[in-house]
Amino acid sequence: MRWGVTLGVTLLVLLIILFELPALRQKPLRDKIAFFSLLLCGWVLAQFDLPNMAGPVTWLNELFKPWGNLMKK
Amino acid sequence: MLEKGKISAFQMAVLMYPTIVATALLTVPSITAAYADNDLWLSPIWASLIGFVTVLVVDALHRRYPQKTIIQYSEHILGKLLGKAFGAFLMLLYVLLTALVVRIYAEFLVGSFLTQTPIVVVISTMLLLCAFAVRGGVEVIARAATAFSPFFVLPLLLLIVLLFTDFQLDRIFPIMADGVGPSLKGALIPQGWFTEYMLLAFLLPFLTDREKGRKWGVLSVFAVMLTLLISNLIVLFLFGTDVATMLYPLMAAARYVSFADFFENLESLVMAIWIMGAFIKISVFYYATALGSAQLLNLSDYRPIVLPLGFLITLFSFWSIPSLMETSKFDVAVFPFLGPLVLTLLPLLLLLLSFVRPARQEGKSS
Repeated sequence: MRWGVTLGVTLLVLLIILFELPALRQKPLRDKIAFFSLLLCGWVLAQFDLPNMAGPVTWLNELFKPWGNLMKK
Repeated sequence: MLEKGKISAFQMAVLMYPTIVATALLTVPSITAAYADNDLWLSPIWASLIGFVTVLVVDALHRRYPQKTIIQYSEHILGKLLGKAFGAFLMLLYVLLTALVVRIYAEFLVGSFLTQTPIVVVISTMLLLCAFAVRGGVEVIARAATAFSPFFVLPLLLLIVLLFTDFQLDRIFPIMADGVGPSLKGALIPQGWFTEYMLLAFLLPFLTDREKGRKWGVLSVFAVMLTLLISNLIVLFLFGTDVATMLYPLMAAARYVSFADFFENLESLVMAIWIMGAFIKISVFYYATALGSAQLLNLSDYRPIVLPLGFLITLFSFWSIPSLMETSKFDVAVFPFLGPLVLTLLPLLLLLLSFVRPARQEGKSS
């Protein structure tokens, strides 16, 4: 765990919530769920060492490898 | 309707111009040159063909489902479950594409100018700025684009005028020494950028003059093709086939300018203007992501999810990308195939399906 990152990200999430809350109050429940689950996804993702973790770019690289090899000179 | 703003077809064309050109001007000339050698100026012409196809497909889809974005009509065409799955896939891809655009923008800025600044600062400040533009809606982005785009063409003209005496025009010969092969292979790179015209699927529903959408879309592709052709010619005349070894050839060309001991270090001017282009590009991608996600989730408004999405995009711009190497690998080995497949072929498939299954779709809606 990198506590500094966790703290910073939590602060950022809180700031976003504070900024949106007044407008969000009048929105339907569906909007609120979407808003908070997106933030939660982000918060959880931010806890990992993302740059050195396999992710979408690695997967797409693997998926397109046979075609990507065509581009090798 | 989630978006109440309206733009004209002309504004849409102006909006799309920096959206494609902004990042295409940076690295594409050198990657193209690696395959096409001195035929690199021909490659944008071949590549633009897929841009025209994409515009026509997206426009035809929009004519069949007026006032709807691709997220909405894919549900009509594919049915609820498959349509949602398609939409979710598309939106995840758009988050990733936006993230990659921001990352490339930031890498360039940090690599050439802000060498001491942590890259996360460059990424998050740009995304914050774009977030406010996106919250303003399509009209705000379109007006910003119409205000900035003239400046965007300016440096290119300036470069031609100031560098003309250094041009070695004979570097263009021999044209097609090894047939069309090399220039076609070189075209694989820029054609990925042209498939980004699929973004029109998110803009066409908000046009005031919808019948002109196709005309201006096609003209916009043509303008992009011409710009890439000219910029490729500039770097070819200036550097010859050495272009292939450079990372940002057009920036090197700007640095090369030394005219009357007065016009020097023009790269800082080019950079400033280029940031405006990147701002438009990121905003349009970001806007499509926010609007599409809100439609996918049946929200009443897309504004509340703009900032959370921006947060996600920031994270995606780091996820499995330890360095610039990874993004250029993606540009060369993945995007030239992923782009046409998902951004051109899938909409084409949707269009064909919409002809095959019209009866069922009408039965469902009534």
